[in-house]
This record gives sequence, C-alpha cells and structure tokens, in this order.
Amino acid sequence: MKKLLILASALYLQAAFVQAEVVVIGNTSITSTLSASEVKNLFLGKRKSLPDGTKIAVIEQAKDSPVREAFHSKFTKKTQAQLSSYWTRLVFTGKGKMPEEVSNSEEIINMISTNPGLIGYIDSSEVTDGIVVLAK
Amino acid sequence: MNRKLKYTLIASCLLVQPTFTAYANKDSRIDNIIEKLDKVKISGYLNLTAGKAKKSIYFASNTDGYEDFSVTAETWGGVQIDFKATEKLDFTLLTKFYAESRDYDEAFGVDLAYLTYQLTDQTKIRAGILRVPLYKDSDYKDTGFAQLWLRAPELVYANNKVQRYTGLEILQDFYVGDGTIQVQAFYGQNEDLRAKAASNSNKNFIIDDLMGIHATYSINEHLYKMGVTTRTEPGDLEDFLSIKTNGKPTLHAYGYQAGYRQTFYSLGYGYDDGEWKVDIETIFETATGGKSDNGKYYASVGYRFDAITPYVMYQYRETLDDSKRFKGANVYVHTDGTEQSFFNAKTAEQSIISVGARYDISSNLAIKVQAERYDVENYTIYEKIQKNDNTLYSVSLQAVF
Repeated sequence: MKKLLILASALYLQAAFVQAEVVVIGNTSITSTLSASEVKNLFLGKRKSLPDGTKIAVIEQAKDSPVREAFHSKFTKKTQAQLSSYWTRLVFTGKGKMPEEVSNSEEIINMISTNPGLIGYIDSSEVTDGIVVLAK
Repeated sequence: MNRKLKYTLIASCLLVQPTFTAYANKDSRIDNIIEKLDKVKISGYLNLTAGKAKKSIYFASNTDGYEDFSVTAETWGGVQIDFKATEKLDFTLLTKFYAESRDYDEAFGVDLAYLTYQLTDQTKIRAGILRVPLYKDSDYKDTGFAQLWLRAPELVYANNKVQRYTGLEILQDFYVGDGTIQVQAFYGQNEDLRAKAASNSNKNFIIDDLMGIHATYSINEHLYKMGVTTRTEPGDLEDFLSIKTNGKPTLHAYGYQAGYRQTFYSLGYGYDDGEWKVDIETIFETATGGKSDNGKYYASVGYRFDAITPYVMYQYRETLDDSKRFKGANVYVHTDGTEQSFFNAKTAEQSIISVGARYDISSNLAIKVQAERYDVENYTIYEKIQKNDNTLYSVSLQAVF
C-alpha cells in the first residue's frame, strides 16, 4: 500500500511538472508581447532587438535544465545537440555569439528585473512582480 | 570547460605572484583578473576520423590517404579565442592543428585572426585573416559537429584551396517580416601555398582581387543562399612547367589557370524543422584560360529519430566547357622563339552517393558513420581514358566545447 501511495505521488508530481508552462519574460518597461517566431529569432541570434527597436540580449538557462529543454522544444524546435550544432556554425564563422547562461530562474529574474535590455525564460509558476510575461 | 580554464588561469596567476605581496591588494587583483578573463571566451572543435577505401585509387578530394586504414588523414581540431576589447570591438583568433601535416598547411598554425567592429546592431565590419564564404557551408566545413554529414560534400567543396584571405568584410542584416537577409561582401588576397607546392619556383604566389558578395535569407525553417566570388590566380605558365627527360615540357594543372580569373556562382537551399533536414546546392565555376569550367550540385536529406539522424546524399560534378578548351589558351614561348600550346584536354564526370548516420552522444559530442560510393569517368576531348569506382567507409567522432 505504501509503495502504491509513493508511486501515485510520483506520478502526480510528474504530471504536474509536465503541465507546467515555460514563459518568456522581460523587464516591466517592455510593453509589447512577442510572437513565437519573434522569440525564435531572438534566441537563435537572428534578431538583436524587439520589433519597436529596443536593443535586446537573451539569457539562457543552464544546459542541463529541464526548463531550457522545454523552452527550445516549444519555440526553436531544437534539441540541445541541434542547438549546439547551430551555435557552432555561428561561433566559428564569427557571425554570432552564444547567449550568456545562468544557473537558475532566480538569477534570471534578478538580472531581468534590473535590466530593461534582457529577456529570458522561466517556468510560469516562478513569475514574480518585477517582470512581465512576453510570450507563452 | 571555459569556466574551469578561467579558474585555472586565475590560480596560475595567483601562484606566480610574489608571496610577500600585501594581502590587502589581493582581492582587487582577483577582481581585476576575473574582469579581464570574463572578456575572453574559449571554444574549440575536434574531428577524429578513420576510414578505409576498398581500392587504392584516388577518392574525391580529401580522402586519398585511405587506401590503407587511416586515422589521421582527416583528423584535426581548432581552438578559438574571442576577446572583447570594448563594447563594440572584438578580436578573434582561431588556431588549427592537423594530425597529418601536408605540403600546403602546417600541422599547427593560425587559421583565422580578425578584428570585428559592431557598427550597429545590423552592421559588422571585420578585418584580418578571414574565411572565404565560397559556398553555402564553406565557412564552417571543417567543423564537423556543425554539420549533419560525416564530411562536407567533397565533389562540391573540392575547389577550396583558398579557405581564408587577408582583407576586409562587411556583414549587413536586413529584417524582412519574420525573416532576415544577411549580405556579406568582402575583398582581399591570400598566399596560395598549394600553387607554391606545385611550382618549380621559390617565389610567393598571391591570389589577388579575391572578392565576393553573398546573400543569405533565413525565415523559419528555410534558408536560401546565393553568392558570387571571384579571384585572380597567381603565377605564370612558366612557374608550373617541368621538362621531361626527353626534353618535352609538361604543364602542371595549376599552369592552365595561372594569371587568369576564376568565378564561382552558388545557389543553395536548406530546410531544418528539427526532424527533417534537407540541403540542396548547385554551383558553377567559370575560368578564363585553359582551366575547365565546372558544374556541381548536391542534394541531401536526413530524418531525426531522437538522437539518431540517418541521411543520404548525392553529389555530382562535370566539366562544362570541353569544346572551348580545345582552342588552347596556354602558350609557352621557347628560348628559340618557337611557341608551344598546352591543351587541358582532360574532362570528367564524377558522382558520389553517401549513406550515413549521426548519433548525438551528448549536446557537444557526436559519432558519425558514412559509407559512400565514388564513380568517375575521365575523358580527353578525343576519347574515354578511364572509368573507375571506389567505396569508402568512415567513422568519425566530432566534438565541440
């Protein structure tokens, strides 16, 4: 019985995790939202500004982060290996620089809430007052 | 890796500091070193390839060392250091090493070294030793991990003796709807070490007026690239002449193009939706003088099943101006005033069909296997002189950091 309860709890937690949604966040000074293709262009280094001209740098979560995998599966449609292959092309041709990586969502929120030129992504359950959701 | 390297460098710097330095200064020194090292990014790639050809005949362009099993013919790597000098100015140095040295490339040396000035968000100017973006995938063809295939299409990318140049380049992005058009224009020159290796003289061979303009349009899963590059080949016909024991002069293949202009046109398309990967490219190489014009193309398709992506690729190359070359553009005047014409009578049709797979072991390490069949028919203008085929099996471990 105890084993069954543990199993049920594990399945419930897993289901809750799967249902969590990754959202793109920015500083509260950003007033517009972003389309999926705009998010893709920014996170693949094809654009360096928002449609209104605001200069933007993107922040990635750590390579082994499940949120990172969920974000790229949703927006860029690339696995971590495909992403690495993509950036390799840009880095070794000097046509692009890999985005900065930070270790957790808290760090991303802190950076974005104090810098209007940064965007990143976190799990929707982690959204706080100091940031806005730009895309989900 | 990058971070570990930085910490190692910091530790090394601290170790060599005199021990009697006041502790009060240590924190500021560490901050200073960290600040400087944060401006440095180190990345690298490695291709470790082994192969075995069925027959001991020349196989396409890069793979003529494979009549015996070889683990060094296509093994190489590179380390790139990016230094951010100011907010807008970067310096990049890429060093490359080969497991096997060759006549025209040192086993270890500087591959690229350039300054980048970010004029605006959409405009970059670069100067120094830069990569020639001859065809769709030329500027990263040695970085195996960046490609689906084990090796870039050899028949198409074979005429790549000029992989870099010393000069100036401008990169300009134009935003069109959801897509981006990147225009790359460049001008420069480069020493031709292959011509030097093929010549009978000790002079320097400089490929001059190397210039081109390329445009890449990328939108969603689609990429379209078109470009034109032109260059003047170095040297004179006499530099590539050798006299046989019977007194007759013979001309090395480089002699037919010496002093003449070559132009390369390319049109490519790529599709990548995360599952399907399609690449198609067609190329025309035109040459004044006696060198042959070439028509080339390749088509490739792969499909991703989780971490494994099997693929097939077909490549074809043929000489195009066979009848025109019969007239002969290469004339040698002997010391007694008599003239001798050289005719580049050789023509060819080559094809390669490849089947392979890429397995991503991790996000920065892949193993690839590839089997390919090579068919060639060589003619002179008058007759067929050779028909041959070969099969090559290769395995490669490719990594980036």
